Order: sequence, then structure tokens, then C-alpha cells
Amino acid sequence: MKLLAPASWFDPITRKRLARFRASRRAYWSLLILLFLYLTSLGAELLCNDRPLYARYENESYFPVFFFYPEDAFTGNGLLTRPDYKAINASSAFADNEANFMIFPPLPFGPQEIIKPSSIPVSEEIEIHAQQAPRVASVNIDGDFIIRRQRGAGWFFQVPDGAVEGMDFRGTYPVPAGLAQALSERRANRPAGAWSQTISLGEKRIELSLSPYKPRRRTQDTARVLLREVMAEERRAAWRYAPDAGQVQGQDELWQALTPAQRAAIQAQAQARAAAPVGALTLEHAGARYRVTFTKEDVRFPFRPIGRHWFGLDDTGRDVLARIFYGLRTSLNFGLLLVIASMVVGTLIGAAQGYYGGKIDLTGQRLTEIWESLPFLYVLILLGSVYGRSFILLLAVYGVFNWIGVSYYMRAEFLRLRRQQFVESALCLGLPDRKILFRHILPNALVPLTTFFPFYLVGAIGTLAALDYLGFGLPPPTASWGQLLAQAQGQPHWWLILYPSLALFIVILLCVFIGEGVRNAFDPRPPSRLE
Amino acid sequence: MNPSEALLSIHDLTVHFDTDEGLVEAVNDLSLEVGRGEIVGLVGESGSGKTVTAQTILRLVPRPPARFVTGGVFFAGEDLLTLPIERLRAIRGAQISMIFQEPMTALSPLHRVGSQLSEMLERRAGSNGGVSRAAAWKRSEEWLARVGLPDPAERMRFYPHQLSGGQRQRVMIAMAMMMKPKLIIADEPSTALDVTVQAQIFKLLMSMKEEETSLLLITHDLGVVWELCDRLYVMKDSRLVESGPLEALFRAPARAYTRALLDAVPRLRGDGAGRAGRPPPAATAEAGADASDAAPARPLMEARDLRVWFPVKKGLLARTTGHVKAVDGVSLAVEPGRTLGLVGESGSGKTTLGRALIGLQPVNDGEVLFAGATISGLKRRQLKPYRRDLQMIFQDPYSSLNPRMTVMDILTEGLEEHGLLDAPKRDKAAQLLEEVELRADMASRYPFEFSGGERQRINIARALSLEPKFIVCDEAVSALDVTIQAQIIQLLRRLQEKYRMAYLFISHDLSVVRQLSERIVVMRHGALVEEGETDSVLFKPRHEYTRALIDAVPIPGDLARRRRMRGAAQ
Repeated sequence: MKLLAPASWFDPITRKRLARFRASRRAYWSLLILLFLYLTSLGAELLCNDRPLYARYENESYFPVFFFYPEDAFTGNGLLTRPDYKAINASSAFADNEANFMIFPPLPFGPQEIIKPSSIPVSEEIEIHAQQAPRVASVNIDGDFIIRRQRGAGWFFQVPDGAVEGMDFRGTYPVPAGLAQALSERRANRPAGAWSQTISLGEKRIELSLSPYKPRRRTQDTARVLLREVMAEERRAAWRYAPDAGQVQGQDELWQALTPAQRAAIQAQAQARAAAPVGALTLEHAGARYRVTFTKEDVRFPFRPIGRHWFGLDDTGRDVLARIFYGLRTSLNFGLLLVIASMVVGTLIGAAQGYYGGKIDLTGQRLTEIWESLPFLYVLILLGSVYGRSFILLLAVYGVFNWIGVSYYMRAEFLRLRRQQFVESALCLGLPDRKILFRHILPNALVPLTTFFPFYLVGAIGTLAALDYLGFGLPPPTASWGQLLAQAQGQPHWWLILYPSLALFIVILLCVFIGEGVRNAFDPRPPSRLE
Repeated sequence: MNPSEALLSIHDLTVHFDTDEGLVEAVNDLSLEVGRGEIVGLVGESGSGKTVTAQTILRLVPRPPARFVTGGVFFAGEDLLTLPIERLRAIRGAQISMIFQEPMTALSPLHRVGSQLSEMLERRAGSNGGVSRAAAWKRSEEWLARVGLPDPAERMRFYPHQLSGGQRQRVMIAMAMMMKPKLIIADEPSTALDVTVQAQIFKLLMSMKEEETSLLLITHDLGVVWELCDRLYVMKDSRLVESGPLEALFRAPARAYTRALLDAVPRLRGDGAGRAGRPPPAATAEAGADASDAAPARPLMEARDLRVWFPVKKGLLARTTGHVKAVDGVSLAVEPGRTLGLVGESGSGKTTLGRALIGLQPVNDGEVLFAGATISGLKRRQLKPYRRDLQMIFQDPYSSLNPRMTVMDILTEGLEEHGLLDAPKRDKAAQLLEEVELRADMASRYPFEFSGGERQRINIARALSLEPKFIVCDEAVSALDVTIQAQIIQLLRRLQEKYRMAYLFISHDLSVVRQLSERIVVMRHGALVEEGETDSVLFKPRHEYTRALIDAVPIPGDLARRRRMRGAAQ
């Protein structure tokens, strides 16, 4: 690879700097990688697209990446809209003829293409979980331990629920001393803390509890006691249901022990789950209560990486890898155009100030300071709302503010260089300003520009991502990294955070490495130590 | 001298630098000794390795790129090159101090002179027997008085930028001497200073002998060496050429290089005038008069009551509160084919005057006439026809050539602009290069490939390219080594004879001006104080300032002066 080989037509200073840059391996390779990434992203349509590179249909060749064909050309349905090539490719009218075919790019997803949920290869299987659930009930008892009100307490008293009211609590359970005490506190309308105790009754173990009590305006006649079954062990089971097979798999002891009606109910519910989410089932078996839940992975966007969607799908069902790839192009185009534009403008203005000095310099400096104090975001929002957000507008508004830093550096460089003796001697020879500026000063003033270029690029890319994240950036549906990050806001969709951040990180890291190499090439101070 | 008595002795020192361009042998096999109370000179041209030698003594060269290859620097029996850094730090400043060439960069710009001085004393308090802050301040003030700074109490509170160059150098000397070191290394201590200030600094350095302090003086200036040193070492191309007691060395140098070096030194007086094979000024004047048929030559360049004032602006609205009168009512005339020497110290306005004459600097008042036509006040476009005739040769051979242009482009740029390019660029450049005694095949090279002297020749060739009638040489040889200086002066003279150009030769160095000029004007504070034929100004100065200026110039070989100088201090 002979990129940046110091050609003989460069002047020797440039040649030496190029040689030094090439000598710093990390910077040089970073530049090669970044250039490779940028060049491939310029040809993103060929690598990553929902339109085929080549289509053969009824002995005619089509190049949908490069040309637009109406849907009518393939279906004859008279529609002049953009065809859905994937649908056409899958349609029987197209696929039945062996001679018809389409060649899709390596990554057959477009940045704007909304992936159909049906084409995402999620498992159709429904997972069924049965888990033993403790029974809970509450009873309100009065001073004589007569149950005044109850909720679902029948099981605890071995009577139907309706028959519990009016029963004497003591008739079923021996009253623990603590409970009597706690009840009397409450009935005396005195503050009391929470209380609980587990009692046994035959095989059942029941936890009785009272919630903390604060005195009320009116004394309560009754106090509410919570009853909760304490289970010796929690039994659970997991089964699977494949809609194709129409049968529950993984049948175990519990399944075998269920009544046919119960099995049928589970199976029916599972079948229903295949189409739409359903609620849980509760069933009684062998004195225990089971809660049966049905889960299945539904395609809901954003969706995790799956199948060929290596980086997952975003919140409208677009392929994240495709959007990152196209976002790379957007970012680098934006960054390069912005940095070049602001450097050109900044150089012209800074050069005029530095070279002519005096009133031009003073007036220019004051105007620049006033201009700089305009709030950038406000201008951006204002113009965006008037003219509509667009790449060009963002570039223009950002560029209109970004040249200022450059102009300061260039002003200083020109101020310094115009006093150099070779500039004076050019004046002496009678050269016009134009030649002095562009032949004598500018080539010697480019040091700060070149060294800052990669770092300015980093700044521009970072700012674009930040603006997109905030929603002031490029208009949807432009593929951009910041917008992907914004989607992950508040939700832990790791693929929407990790991959765009990684892309941002890698590009910025490459730029910083390049910048470091450029800086060292311009200022080759060896690491030295002065004792 | 007996080596055992030597305070500092350097044995076979070799220092190499690893650079991008490869190995640079900065010092090779150098041996040197400085005895107690002795003043030793180390002389060499730029790039000879003398400064690296000085810095190596205290290990002040950054490593890498420097490498100490062989040898040792023994100070009071210890090898400074291998001493632990803590020990070395204790020696630095306390036993060996340094005085640098540029006093502005050697003093911290953010701290008052007084604090910088007394801090040194306080910091050494432990080893020097406990000096309190107040005592340190008082002693610093005493030292400022000793080095001859006026109003020392007030100066203690000054920041370095408030002092002049000479005053800053005195502060540096006070700082170096205050610690009563055994050895002071002075690296070109007077090069950045005017001659009158330089003479005062010498007196100070001589006074160190009283303190039994040794001095290693690094310089390129043999005049300085002559006035100060007991013994001399001569370096060339990183190696020692010759060494010996000073007077003997000056009388009978053993080596050709030393002799050449001594011969190249421009002499202010004595038999120096005819040495470069030039007719005495009077004869030239007569010849000029003959050529113009006995009528007084009409001046080619004339300034009449010229004023260049720079406004001093202050306050929020930048109102002009006063003026720096860089040139204040100067009248002078230069005749065709003649040289007018313009002498003055830094800040006297001589460069501004030169720039004003060729239209690089607008004038406030007065007139500049070129060949009878007024050229002051012309706009740049109107001035363009005159550009061919008015050129300038600049001081700094490094910054006066655009580093990104080939010599060919540099030399032909002006011709191209004026539509005078009548031959291919390469031929034209070759012709110009030959004119300044450079090889024609150098045209395609870039400035950085040339030495300082060669660059100055290219500078001259560029000025010549338009065949001008008047050239301002602004300190054109000041940045060059003496041997190169002599060659460039020779070249300027030859070109003048060939093309009959007039020079305005600006310099702070009287002895250089003398070699080239028929007439001399002396400038001070923006005004001319004396004017006349070169020899009459130099031998019979009328103005007191001229006299002071002439007296301050060290004259190598002048024994009486040496005795007086050294005696004065003893």
C-alpha cells in the first residue's frame, strides 16, 4: 500500500511530514481503515439494500439499485409506485418461472425498509408454566371473634365461602395469645404495630397477620386478619405447545395427574395464545392451587438481534445494521462537508483580518464576537421550523457558527506570518496581495488547519449525533446514529445502545488516532527528559 | 596548568544527538579545563558544538535525543555526568551557575525580579546557614546594586518585561553570582545586547575574579574573548582545534582555522581598511567625482525631514495618547553607486528608516525622493514601477526565504511579476546563482538545504534579480559567523562595483559598517546625531554618543585596551 507516498512534487516540508505520518503505524492504519469505511459507505447501496442488484424477469434485465422501475413492470397491475421487490420475488407469478431471479446485495435490507414481522424467524412455540400459588384470604372479626366479613376464606375454614360469615373464629383455630392482644389494642383504638404468626392446623400451615394500626376518629368494631397458606414446597412444571403439532409437549407427572377437562382448558388457552396474548389460568389440583401462564416471543419493535438482523431492529422495524451503515455515510459526509466549509470560510475571514490588520481586524473581531454569542440551538430550531429540517439546513446553520474557531487560528497565523521577512521581501518585489496571501502566507499557515482537521471532524460527528439524539438534527427517516440512540431512551434495548455507540466510538477513535499522527508529523518532538 | 588544580575538567567528551535525519555528532573528543579564578573562553562558529558542551556540564541537554557517548565532566573530583540527580541539583546554582544568551526567556515572566532572586537564596537556606525571607530580599537588593542596576529597591518589584535587555542580563548575572558559585558558565552573555551595554556587562563579569569565581565564557565573538579571557579554546565542527593562553594564541595561532577566524574579525581601527583590498574611501569619493564630470553627484535616494511616528494607544476606546517617534526628522542622501552606513543601537529606528525609504513603511511627514521623484505617500500600485529599483536584503537568512518554494521560484518570482522574464526560469536562476557565487544546479533545491551564508547569498540574488539601483541591507550580515560575514561583505562590494548600485547599509556593528561604507550616519532615538566620511566619524567622532559607541567596541589584538579592561576590574 503506497498511499500518501511522498511524491516528488510536494515541497520538502510536506514530504517530510508525510513520511513522518506514514511512519506512525497507528495513525496510518487508522487513516486507511477510515478511508476504507468511508469509501464502502459511499457505495452502501450496493452492499446493503432492499432492492436487488440485478433482476431477471421475462428475459429482461433490470438494475433496480441504479434505476427506478414501476411496480407495473413486474406485476402488470398498472401501479406506477415503487415495487416491493422482496414481495415480488416471493410471489408465485415471479418465482414459478425458473428463468426469473433476483440478486440481492449481501445485506438485503434497506435503511428505510420496514421489516415485516412475519419475516422475522421467531419461535412459534408457546411456553406454558404451571406454578403452585398460595391461597390468601381475609376475615374481619369482632370482639367475640365472630367473623363479620370475609373474602375467599372458605378453604381456610373448610366450608363454602358464603358460610364463613357468622362463624366463630375460635371454632376453627385456637386463638394465639398475641392475636387476642393485638385485637384488643385495635378495638381500644390504640396505635399498634404489625403482627403475624404462623399456626398449624392439621396439615395446613397458615400465617395470620395484622397490618399496623393507627388510631382513627371512630373506634372500629372489627379488625381485619389476613390468612395466607404457607406451602411446604412450591410445585412447578413447564410444558411446551407447538401450534403445528397441536399438542402439549414435555408431559410430566403433574400433567398426567390433571383431569382431562383441565388439560383441555390448558390446550385451548395455548392455542389461543398462538394468535394473541391471553391471561393466566388458575386450577385446583390435589388440594393445591396452580397458576398457569402462557408465554411466547412476539415480534414487537424494537426487536433484538435475530437471524440475519445481526444488530437487531429499531422501533419501526428497520434493520439496525443497515441504518448504522448508512448513518456512517451521513455522519462522515456531514462531518467532512462541515469541516471543509468552516475551514474555507474561517480561513478567508481570519486571513483578511490577520493580513490587513487595523480597522478590518478590529471590526471583524467585534462582529465575530457578536455573531458567536447568538444561540446556535435557537437559530437551528427557528430556521428548522420555518424551512423544515434538512441535511443542507443543518449543515448551513452549523457551518455558519463553526468557522469562528478556525478564523481565530488563521488570524493569528496570518498576523504572525505577515511580519515574516519572506513576506516583506515579496512586498519588496512588488507582488500583489493575492499572490502574497496565497503563495507565500497560506501554504505556511496551514499547519493549524491540518492538525485540527481530524479533531474538528470528531467534533462535527459527535455534534451531529448529539443533535439527532435530541431531535434537532436530521429529519426522519434519515438514517443516523443519534436517532438510534434516542430510541433506546428509557428502555433497555441494549442493541440500540451498544451498536450505534460502538460505531460512534470506532469512528471517533480512528479520527483521534489520525489526528495524533498528524500532530506528531507536524511537531516531531521526541519524548525527551530534562533532568 | 596543573590538571590537579583544575576546578572543572572535561575529558574526551563525546555527545551525540539522534535525530530524524540521523546521528548528529555535536561534541567529539573534547577535553577542556577551567582553573580556579580563571576566565576561559570557548570560541566557535555556529554549530561548532560549544553550546552543547556548556549545557552538558550541568546535564541540561535533553536526553533523548542527546546521548553522552564517552568522557566525563569532573567538577571538584566528581563526574557530573554520572552523579545522582539529587547531588547534581545541589551543585546547580550553588556551585555552578549559568548565564544564558536571551535573558528574557531565562527569567520567569510571571514573577517579580525580587522574588526570583530571593527565592534562590531562601531555597538554599539549609546549606547556606539559614536566610529568612526578609534577609534574602535585602541581600538580593544589595546584589542588584552591585551589578549596577539603578534604583535597586524599586527594580526588585519589577517584572522582567519592565526591564531592558541589558538590565535583565544584569539580573541574571546577579542571580548567578549571588550564590557565590565556584564556576559560572556564560553562554553568549552579551550577544543580544548593544555594544555600550555589552561593555558594562564585561566589567561585571571581570569583577567576578574578585570573588575567586571561575568563568567559562562561550562566544562566537573574538573581541569579547580578547577583552576578558585568560585562556582560549577554539572549536570547529564539534572538535577542539586549538587551545592556549590568550595573548600567545592571538599573536601566533598554530592552526590555519584559528588564523582564518582571527583574520575575519572586522577591525574598527588600525590597518584594517586596506586589508580587504579596497581603495581608501577618499580615493573612491574622488573616482566617483571624476566619473560624474566633477559636478557633485545628484543623490539617488534622498530623505527630507522624514518622520515615522507610531501612535501609542491606551484605554477602552484606544485613544492615541502619544507617539513612539521611531524616525523623527531625518534627512539623508545616498549617491548612486555609493554606500551609506547607518549605525545605531537597537530601538534607534534604523530599520524603520530603511523600510520607509523603500516604501515598506508609510511616513507621517517629510519626503522620500528617488532619482528626484517623490515616492513617499504613493499608493502600492503607484509604487510598483519603483519596486524594480528599490530592494532590501533582510537580516535573518532563515525567515527571509519562503520554506515552501524552490530557489528557482524564489529568484524568478519578481521578474515574472514585472514581466521581465526573458529567459527560461532555470537559466535565469542559474545566472543569478552564479552571480552570488553559488552553483547553478542549486536552483531546484529548497531553502532548508542551505547554510546561513548560502541563504544570505540567495537573498542577495533575489534582491539583484530586478537589477535595482538602491538596496537597503538591514543587518544583512549580523546573523552570520565572522568568516561568512567577510565573504558576504566581499560579495556585496564586488556586486556594487559591477552594477553601480547604491547601498544603505544598516548595522549595529561599527566595524562591519566601516568595511563597506564611504559615509556613515549615526542614529539615536530616531534622529541622526552624526554624519560624515567613514574614517572621520570613526577616528574623530564629534558627538559624544558616537564616541561612546566606538569606545565600547572590543578590539581584538589591542593590548592596551585589554590591560585597561582587565586592570579596571582588578
